[in-house]
Amino acid sequence: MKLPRLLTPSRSFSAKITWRVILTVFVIFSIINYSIYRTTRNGILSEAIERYHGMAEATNEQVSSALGAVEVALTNNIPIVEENLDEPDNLYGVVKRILELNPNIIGSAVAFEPNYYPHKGIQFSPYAYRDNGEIKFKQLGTDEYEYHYMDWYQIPKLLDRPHWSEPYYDSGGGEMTMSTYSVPLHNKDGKIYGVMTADISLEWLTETLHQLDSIIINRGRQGNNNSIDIADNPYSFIIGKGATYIVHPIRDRIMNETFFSYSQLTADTLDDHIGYEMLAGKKAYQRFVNKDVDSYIFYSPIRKTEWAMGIVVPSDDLFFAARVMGAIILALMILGLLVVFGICQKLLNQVTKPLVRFAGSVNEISAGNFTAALPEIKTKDEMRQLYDSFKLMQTSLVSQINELKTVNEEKGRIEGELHIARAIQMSMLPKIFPPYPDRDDIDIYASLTPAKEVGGDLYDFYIRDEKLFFCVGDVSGKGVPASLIMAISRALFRTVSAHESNPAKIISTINDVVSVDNESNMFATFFLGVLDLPTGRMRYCNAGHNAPVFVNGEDVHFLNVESNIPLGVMSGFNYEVQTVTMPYKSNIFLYTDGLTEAENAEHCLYGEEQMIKTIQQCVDGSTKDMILRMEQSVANHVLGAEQSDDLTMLDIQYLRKQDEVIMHRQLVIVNKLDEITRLAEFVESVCEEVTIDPSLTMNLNLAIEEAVTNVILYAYPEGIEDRIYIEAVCNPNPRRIKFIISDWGKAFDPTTKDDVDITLSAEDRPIGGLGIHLIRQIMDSVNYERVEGKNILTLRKKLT
Amino acid sequence: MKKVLIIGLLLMTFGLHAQSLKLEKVVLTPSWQAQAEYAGIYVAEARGFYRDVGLDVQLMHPALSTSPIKYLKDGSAQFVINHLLSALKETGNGFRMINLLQISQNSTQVIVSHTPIQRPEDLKNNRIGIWKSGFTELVYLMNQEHNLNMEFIPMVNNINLFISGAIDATIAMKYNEYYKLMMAGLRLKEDQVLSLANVGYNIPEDGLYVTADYFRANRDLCERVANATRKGWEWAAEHPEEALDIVMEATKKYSVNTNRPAQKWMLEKFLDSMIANQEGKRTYVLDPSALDEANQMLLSMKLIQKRITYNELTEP
Repeated sequence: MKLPRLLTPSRSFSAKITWRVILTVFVIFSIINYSIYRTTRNGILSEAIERYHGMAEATNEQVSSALGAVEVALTNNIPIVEENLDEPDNLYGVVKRILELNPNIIGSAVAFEPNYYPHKGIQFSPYAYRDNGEIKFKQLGTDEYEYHYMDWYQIPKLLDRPHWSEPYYDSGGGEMTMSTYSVPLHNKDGKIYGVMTADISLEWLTETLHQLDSIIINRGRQGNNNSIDIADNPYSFIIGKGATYIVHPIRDRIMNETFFSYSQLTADTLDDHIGYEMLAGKKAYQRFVNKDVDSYIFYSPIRKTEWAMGIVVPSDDLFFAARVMGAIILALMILGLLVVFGICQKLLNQVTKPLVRFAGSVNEISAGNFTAALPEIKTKDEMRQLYDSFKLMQTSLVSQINELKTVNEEKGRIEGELHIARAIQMSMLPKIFPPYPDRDDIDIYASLTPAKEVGGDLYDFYIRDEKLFFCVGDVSGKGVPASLIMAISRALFRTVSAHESNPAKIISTINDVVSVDNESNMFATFFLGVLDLPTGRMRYCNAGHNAPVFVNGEDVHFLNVESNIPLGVMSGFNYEVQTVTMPYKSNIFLYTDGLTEAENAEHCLYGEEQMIKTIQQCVDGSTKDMILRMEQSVANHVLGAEQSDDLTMLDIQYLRKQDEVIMHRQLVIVNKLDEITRLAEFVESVCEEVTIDPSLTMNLNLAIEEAVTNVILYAYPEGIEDRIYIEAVCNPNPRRIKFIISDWGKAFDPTTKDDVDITLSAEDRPIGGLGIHLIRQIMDSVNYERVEGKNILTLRKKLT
Repeated sequence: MKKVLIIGLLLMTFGLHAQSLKLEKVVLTPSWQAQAEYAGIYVAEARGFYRDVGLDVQLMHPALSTSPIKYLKDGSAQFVINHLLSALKETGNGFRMINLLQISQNSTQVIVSHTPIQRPEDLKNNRIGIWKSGFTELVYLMNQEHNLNMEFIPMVNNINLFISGAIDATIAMKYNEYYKLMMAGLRLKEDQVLSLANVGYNIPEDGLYVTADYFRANRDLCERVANATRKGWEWAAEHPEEALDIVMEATKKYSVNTNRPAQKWMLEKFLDSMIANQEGKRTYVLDPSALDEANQMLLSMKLIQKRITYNELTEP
């Protein structure tokens, strides 16, 4: 179960490292071991070669010394032979003594040349030999055994030197395989008169080599079994001068075969070469293939004779020790690898176990348990670093998650508050339509669709002193900051316009307030209009807002507006006021860029063109129709794409026809208090004309007089004389009267003065304060306008 | 008719049985020790060809230093294998021998030297080994004809003298000693070997002989031995491997130190020498022209006084 896992490389970290280490160690081990094996093997080979040479040498020495003993024995007896030449029969005793003294000698003869002893016949050779332990004699030469023609006689005689005969089976003499050492005997003239011999049995030689073989064969040779496969075992052999086997583990080969009987049957010339070398008396060793077995042969000549000894050793035997050592090295290497493997596994498991546990902990952490237990690390190594890092991660995770939680709660709270802010913001805007149901001179409809919870768009309108104050604004940005600016702007609009009717002034004031300390660089485009409802004259001022659309029947065009700059950009900017007169049933359509820049999914803008087109389609409808139609048109355009900006629209339709005039009179006076009398007469006369009751006439007179007195007293500097126009207009249905006082004095709007604190004494009250209070008490509305350097104060009173 | 057949068969069986009971015992002496040169004889003996013709042929190999004719002369053998020349010489000297079978048709004798010999003259004053047992007439003749003044060393063993360096050259049978020399590790070059046949001394060698007296008295028996021997050779030629087995058995039986490759070589070479030059096959018959040549040689060497006729050698 565990092993297959380890045998699959790259499964686990530890397995990977283990395998790499094992491979590296294996390669290093292999190189080292192979080098050791090679070196040792060569050493073993040299040692083995030395050993076999040594054995061959020792055996050679043994054989040589035995042969040497024979030679000495024979040579030592030559003088004795010579001493007994006169008594040929004594020679039997001589040869017998040779046998007695030297147990290796199995036969000895003194063989004479033909007819050496005429009375003994052609052949005379006293011969002693061993027979079942006894020493026997005979005369060697017979008709059947003509020794003069035997190698042992002929060769030393012909060569005239001592000679070891080739081994032979002596059927006429010793009846065994033997070799004969022959020494030619010379007379005083140096002529050969015979040959003295000593025979040795080759059984003895065979025995000596058998002893050698039993040393070199670890497994032991199995007797003299001819069927033994000698190629597999080491063995030794001796060949004679004619390459005939003298000693060989296969007995049949002895005397029957020569070294070349077999070597020449094969194509391999190496073994022939070995044979020639051996015959040439060389001492060497060769590697060759002996009957398909890779073998070594060590050979050296046997001194005294011309024979050669060879030791054949299969390479396997020669390298047996090297092989054993190789096997031991291999076994040790495998053992070493196993140990390294085991240690690697154990160590790496120890090292990587915490990693696995860390992985478990991390899994747990990712499942949400931030306080999951980390594995216990007692060491102070990289694992400890990892542990510390994980711990730190855990701690910071917990704190960040907590922070996130707080932030989310905060966000939720803010969102809730934004909801409220939104509600408050929306509540600031007039939302009830029609807003002035009891008025027939004006029709207003508006809508604001914020893109986010709290928007930056605004619109507002209200009526004061028969004037409709209205505005549309778009604060840069969205959300709370924008909505705050919006709220401020709206509040300023209401506050400032309560006392100021000039749109440029209102906007300038708002701008100055907003610009101060505008660190957040918020700004707002703003359009402000003041529509004088009785006259339809509209004064307006633009602060960087889109030009409103002016609709008069089929005539639809953008209102001519000065762009100026948005609110909040720069304080003290001089905004310009513009004027237009709205005819009956004309519309002014205000909007923010949320309309023209409404995007569909293809980022295609709604555009001014479409807007104009849509307006043209509903010039006859009400303001509500117009705006609903516009909303529909925009919805068709964006097709559900997310709204990117607040969308605000405000449509105002002017519905007042010009009144019928039943009386219109004018009085021109100069700025002198004397003229008040004329004024009073003029007012009385007018009131009389339109049959106003005397008490009201008196009140009207009081109000007019107060207003004109103000102009006479304050409008001009001391000594400047100018005219003051007083116009009186009376309209029916409903019956009402208005007085319009115009002068060219310095601009002064009495309507912006607060109502007088009547609890103060007359001296403490500011100028005009009491007067305007009086006027407001008497009249229904007081309207001031400054037009083209002219102060125009309009006082209106309904007549019931 | 049936009765006659059964009686006939019975008679034949008894007759054969009777024959095997009283085999005629004869002794045959080959010219030398047991070897493939006599394969036909060993085969005839081992395969029962002799017994089949009512003979118990006993083989008696000669001592190494002894000529087979000695055995014929002293009566210890009735049949011998001998070379034509020595048979003619004996006949010429009054010991009449009858050629029953001419086995070899060509001379296989070569002279091997330690030094190069391309012509007989190269052997001048050489010490040369010859067989003590004979068959050396051709060498003598060559010595005489070319005036070589060679020293002849008779030897019983065949190659040791030459190998030991005791002699300069040696006579050798191509099928026997020549091979042994090679096997002894001598790397003989072509110019170290002189074939006598190539220098004009091609005389047939082995033949089966009896004395004329014996032949006259036992003509039928002689023919039976000759035929069985011939049959043996034919079988050996057809079954060389089996024949070799039989030869190896014989060498073991007669304690001859040899080996199978050597005997195989010998058998092949000897079978080659049995092919008659003109007929191109084994004839077992003496070629009259070869007899003429042999006569000529022996006469020139004065080894015989008068020409021996073909009839003299084959019909008493």
